[in-house]
Amino acid sequence: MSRDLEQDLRHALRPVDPTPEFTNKLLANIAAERCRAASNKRPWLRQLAVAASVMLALGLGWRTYQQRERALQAHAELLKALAITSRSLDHAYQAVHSLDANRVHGG
Amino acid sequence: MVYSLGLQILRNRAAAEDLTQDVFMQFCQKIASLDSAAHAKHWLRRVATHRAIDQIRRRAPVPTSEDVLSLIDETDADDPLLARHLRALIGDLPLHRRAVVVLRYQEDLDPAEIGELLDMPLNTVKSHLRRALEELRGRLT
Repeated sequence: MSRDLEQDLRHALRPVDPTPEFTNKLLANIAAERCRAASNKRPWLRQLAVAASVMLALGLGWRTYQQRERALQAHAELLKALAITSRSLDHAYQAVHSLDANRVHGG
Repeated sequence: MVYSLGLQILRNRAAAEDLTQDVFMQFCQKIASLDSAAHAKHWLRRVATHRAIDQIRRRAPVPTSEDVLSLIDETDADDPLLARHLRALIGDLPLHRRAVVVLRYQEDLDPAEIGELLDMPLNTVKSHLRRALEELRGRLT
């Protein structure tokens, strides 16, 4: 009797599956939870992204600063060259002018 | 396993679905610390059973829903009426006795495993089982 009752209990308590609708909903929720957990478990990834952004900004800033420095330097050199050229032209003009004057007066 | 445990202890399909959802959400957070499939199965079984028991303790008794009684009647070739009657009788058992019976005959755990899972001494498990069988036998005759 006892053995029969135990067999009947096993039969009555056979495991049952949930409905497919519930299973699908549960799987979707688990997938969403795992995605959320994965992003929370890797804070270093977010920190790395921030650090990379800072490095990029610093790099771009440094490059812009260098370009501006080079432009200022080139501008200064151009002014210097123009000044030298201008002085040379003055000397040449004065030399020619004094030569012509000597010719006229001495001539 | 989780859903079945919830269903047989809580006696209500909606409550069993809520319990299954909660257990698996907790499982997602815990999964990294579970080192094998056997460990994971043990964890799921333990948490599902304890949650179901806690839920019954906290809330007002939930009536056994009709769909729980007729769970497998459609495919019951042997004796669908007896199976249905037994499920109703199991639902009337005191809480811990019901949990022990479900773990013994649904999950096929031996009394030592049930004691470990429910944090219950082995002799208490055996006593619950013996009394449950006596009660069920008495109500069947």
